[in-house]
Parts: sequence; C-alpha cells; structure tokens
Amino acid sequence: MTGTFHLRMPQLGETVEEGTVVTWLKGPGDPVRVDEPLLEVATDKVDTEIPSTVEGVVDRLVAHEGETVAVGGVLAEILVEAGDAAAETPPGGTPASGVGLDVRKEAPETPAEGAVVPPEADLRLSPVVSRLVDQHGLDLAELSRFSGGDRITKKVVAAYLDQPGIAASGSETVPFSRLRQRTAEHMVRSKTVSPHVLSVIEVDFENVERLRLARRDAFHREYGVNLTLLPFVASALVTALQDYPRLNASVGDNALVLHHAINLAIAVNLDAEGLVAPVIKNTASLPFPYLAQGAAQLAATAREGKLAADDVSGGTFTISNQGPYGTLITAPIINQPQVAIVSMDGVRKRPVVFEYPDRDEIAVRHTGCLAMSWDHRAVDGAYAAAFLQGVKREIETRQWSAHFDAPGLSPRS
Amino acid sequence: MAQLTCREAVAHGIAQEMAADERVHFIGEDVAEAGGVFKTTGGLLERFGADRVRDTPISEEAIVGAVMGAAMTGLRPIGEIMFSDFFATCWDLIANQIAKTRYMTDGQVSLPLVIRTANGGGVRFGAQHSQSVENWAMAVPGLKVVAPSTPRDIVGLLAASVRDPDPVIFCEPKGLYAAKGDVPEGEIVDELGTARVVRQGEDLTLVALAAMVPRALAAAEELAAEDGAEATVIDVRSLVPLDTDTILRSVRSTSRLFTVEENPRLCGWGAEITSIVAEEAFYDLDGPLVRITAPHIPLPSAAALEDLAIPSVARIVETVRKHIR
Repeated sequence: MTGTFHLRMPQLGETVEEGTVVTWLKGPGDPVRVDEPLLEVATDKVDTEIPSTVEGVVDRLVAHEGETVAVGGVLAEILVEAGDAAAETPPGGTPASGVGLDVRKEAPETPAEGAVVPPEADLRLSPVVSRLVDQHGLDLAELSRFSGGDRITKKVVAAYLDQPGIAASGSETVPFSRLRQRTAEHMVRSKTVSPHVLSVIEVDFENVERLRLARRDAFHREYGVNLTLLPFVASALVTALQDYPRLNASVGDNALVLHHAINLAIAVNLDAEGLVAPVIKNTASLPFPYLAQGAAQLAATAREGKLAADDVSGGTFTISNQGPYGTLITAPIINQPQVAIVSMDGVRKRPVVFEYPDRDEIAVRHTGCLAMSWDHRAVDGAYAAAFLQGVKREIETRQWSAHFDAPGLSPRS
Repeated sequence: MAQLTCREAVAHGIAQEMAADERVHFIGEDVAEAGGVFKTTGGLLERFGADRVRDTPISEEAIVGAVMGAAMTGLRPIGEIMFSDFFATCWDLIANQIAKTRYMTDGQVSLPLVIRTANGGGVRFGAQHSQSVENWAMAVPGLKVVAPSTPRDIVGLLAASVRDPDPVIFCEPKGLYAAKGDVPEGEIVDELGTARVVRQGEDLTLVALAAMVPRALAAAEELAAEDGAEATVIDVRSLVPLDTDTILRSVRSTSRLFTVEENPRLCGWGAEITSIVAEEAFYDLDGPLVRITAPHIPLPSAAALEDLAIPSVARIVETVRKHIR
C-alpha cells in the first residue's frame, strides 16, 4: 500500500529562509533511494544538492526550476510505502541538520495545525504543569516539542514562556465577568460625559462617633443591623440636598433636570467582580433607623447577587463608603445620569485645634474627609462647596440623639 | 559565642532553665552523680543540689509517674528516659495519663513537664537501643514533640519546652551528641512549632529531622556540585506543633518534596507531612512526594548494616537524583 511523502525545503543555514530550485535531477516516475540527490538548490549562502530522505518513486515535482521556495515549502511528492508517508515532520523542520527530514517509524496522532507531538514523547503532566498549561492557555503538543519529547516539567514551561514572542510570560489573563464589563463601560462613559471636579471637606465626626458607639448594641438588637457612620452621612446628605437641589439632578438637553425625590444610591463593592449601587427610594421620607436598616439590607442583598432591576434604577445621588479601607480621600466616578457622588473615607483620631476667644486648644477628635466628585456642567465650585459645608454642619451640629430617643421621627418632619 | 557539643548543650539548657525557675526539678537514671550515661547532665547536681537533681531507681514508670505527680502539684519537672526505646515500658503513663489529663479535667490540671530522651541510632547500640520513637509520641493527641538537631536548638527548644504549659517529649539525637555547634552567650529561648530553613534552593525541598539534618545538608551540597540542583533544606525541629506554613511555602516554590527520616518506613513523620502537602499543595507539585527512610526493620547493630539502613548521604543523593531528571 502506498502513500505520498512530501519532500520539503530544508533549512540550509541558520539564517537561511528560502532557496531557489536550480535543477531537478529526477523526474516523475523515477525511483529514488534514501540519500540519493534529487535536486540542486541555490541560496544566498550556498548551492547544494538536496537528497531524498525516503525510498520510493517520484510522483510530482511541485516546485519548478527557477522557483524560490521558503524553508518547509513542498518541493516534490514521492510515492512511498504507507508507514513512511504518514510520518512527515512539520514545516520548518529542524534547523540544525542540513537536510532535517527524519522519517519516523511510527505514525503519530493526527497532528494539530503545525504541531506534531514527537511519538515517544512523555506526555504525563504533573499537577503544577497541568495548572500552568491551563492558566496560560498553552498547547501541549508545542510544549512537548519544545521539551524534545522529555517530560514537561515546571522548568520547561517557565523556559517556554520566557521565549521572546511568547505572550503571557509573567502574566495571566483573567476574562472580565459581565458585571466587570458593565462597570468598566460605565466608568469610561461617565468620565467622557461629565467633566469631573473634586471638592473635599474635613468633617469632625466626634459627636457622631460617640453616639454611635453608645447606641450601637441597642440599635443592633432593635433593628438587626450594624450601626455604621454611613447612615449618618447619608442622612446629612439628604438634608443638605434639600437646600442644594441642583446636585440632585441630571443634565438634559442644555438644561438641568431637578429631581423632586431624593433617591440615594449606596455603592456596594462586590469583591473583584465590580460595583453595584442599589437605591433607597425617597430617602428623605425615611426615619433615620429605617435609612440605616435599608442601606444595610440593600448592601447584603447586593452581595448575595439578588438585586432586582428596580433596586438599581432611579438613583439621584450616590454615596460610596471607603471608610473601612482607611483611605484619606477618594475621587469617585459619577454614577450616570446623576451629577454628583460623595465618597466617605477613613475616620480616625486626629489632633484638632479648637479656637476660643482667649486661646487655642488641641483636642483629639475623630475626623475624616468627605470627597465629592461633581459634574461641572450642572453646578460650579461655590455651589458644590456650599453644599459640602451644609453636609458638614449637619453632621457636626445636628442633635443625632433625637433619632435614637424617639424612633420614627426624622429631623425635618 | 561558645562552641558546644550537643551533649554539653543539654546540660547547658537544663542549667539555664533550673537557674531561671526554682520549680524546675530534674530526675532520671544516673543523671545526678554520674552526670548521665551519655555525659549529658554533668555538673547539675553540684550546682543545684540533691533536692532538685535526683537519681532514680531503674524504673521508667517511677520516673514518669513522679514527673507527672510533680507537675500536677506545682513543679515544672524534667524527667529523663535514658534510651527512647524504653518509653514502651512506661507508655501507659505517658499516653493514657499525661497526654489526657488536661483534656479530661477540662483544663483544671495541666502538666508543664518535659520528658527528655536519647533518641535514634547510628551508634551501634542495636535494635532495642537505637529506635526513633518521636513518631510514637506524634500519634498521641495531647503530647508536644520536639526533636532538635543542633546544640543551639537543644538549648533554645529545651527552654521553650520547659516553659510550655503542656507535656513535651524532647527527643535528643544520640548520634549527634558529639557534634559541635555555635551557641550564643546569654539566655536562649526558642519557640515550639517553628521549623528552620537551613539552606535555600529553588529546585527541590528536603525536609529532615534531628540526625538527618546534617546528612540532608551534605546531600544538598553534593547535588548542587554534581547535578546543578539547588535544594532547600528544612529542619523540622518540632513535630507537634508542626510548622506546616514553612514547609508548604517552600514546596509551592520548588514543587518537589523529599523527606529524610531516620525512622522505619511505615507511619513516620514524613508520611504525615507528605500527606499534608499532597492535600494542600497538590496543584503546585511537579513530581511525586518521596520519603527517604530506613527500611521497615529493626536496626542492625553491625556497623556496616546499620549504615545501610539509616539513610546515608549517598542514598539521599541517589534517591533525589533519580527523581528530579
């Protein structure tokens, strides 16, 4: 039974990439033995004879005299015994040997495009190699050839990845989840649409913090959620927005659309997956405890991945709490189509100067920054700063204990 | 800095602890007048007196029982079991009484005692006087098990053991009693449950205990010189508590683990460690986890035969070489 062996242009020198057929020494129908010269080839370095690497009968001369063929290109087809035909080496051959076309005795598996696994290759994969192959999306046949048929070890994979031109050396590609994609797209769009300006104000949280610590346990017992600084800031924001409605708005067609209701969105971080900002509808109408409860519950629902479409729509202003991470200031990205977003960052004890008529004193107080990114199309710096001053005043001077002593009362009823 | 032998370090360590705390007493067979059959406890009787350093009758049960009773009633005793093989005669007191007292009294009675013993072979004492029995103790919940390999670690880990509130089985490598090492001046108190990386290398991890540590180090040098293979060598030092972090961190980096154990093949501490590594670092392994141990036989007394049984530097090198192609 016969098969067809493709005789290919070998690499005749380290930098040689092609050769030109000068003269065919045999023609179709001629028998040929192993190592018998078949054609003469010229390269820019040498003129040489190329022998046949198989025994058989020349079937077709694929390359013509005068034609330039790249290394690995087919020169001729030779009819051979079936076993020999199947065992071709891939295009490119082995650079080192002058002829470079070994005929193997055994037929390997059907080769993948361009890559043939050496027949006696040790393909056992250790756990770490398995993991690395997976992680970097590597081709086993390629790796096996690279390791010369020897067992692919961690070192071999490292060497393979180190080669110039092999991408992903030292890095791992982690595809974006849909949420990550949406978050990414929104962030780019927001920065494109809104000219962001950052205004930051320092706030003295000492009164709030003392009250929070004192009432925290009872609050948890009654409302089932932890009492953090978030609801205090949220409540202050809501009060201040009633005096500065242009920040509770959206930019329309050369107009500012002022929203009547304040629907506060709370940014929730879902580990590395992305951000989501569930909305507390009609925040101004909620008594403080229910605001705190609502915020905590929405965050929990968000983390469980159970938010409904309604939960994330209709927000008019966003608050983002970076406090747990201890940052100083964060410049957040506006949650479109809103015009402002406030970040609350780390609150910690700092020395603060208190001015009295006759002297200055230093006290240790809990302080932190509120950082607002706002859309300069909607408002200007003075308005934004005044708003932040209003928030600061609320936090520092409101009688917060009233929320706790008489639940159900909101400060502006 | 002084150069002490392991045997001198034992006396040094006991003395350090007896000087630091009056409650530390020390008893054993021939430990006082004779300074120990291995000459590990010379000078203690003279320095601390007959009340605190005592010779006992030849009864391991009596030694362990007395140490237990002393610990229960306010002392911090050290007892010596002359050859670790003899634990078998007093094992009931150790495994069933000492190991379980704190648990069964719900913490009302804790036993801050140390039983130190000459462990291991390599000195031609034959099958009944050369065993590595740290594994017997490792298998009993309620016992801490320590096996140092250098004079400095003997002092530091003995101190840590004496100051520990729980029973500690302190295995000294009798094969290394004559080996010298640097011991810094001043009080040395080490920490149980910490292994020490004694050589860094990125190609494989050799985990060794006690007398096998110097052999693992020698094998590592040979592998580096002859095969270009750089080994990390870890001295486990403490079997219970066990420093799995150090071992896992190393294996995650080198992807190859070999243990070097003086004990017989079955159920040695190496079996426990390779099992932990297989479970927790499976996807970091580039080859099988290999244990280099003595065969599962009583140790011969003939020198040539004992040397064949206990892992030699040559056998360690050969085994590693075979596996890291």
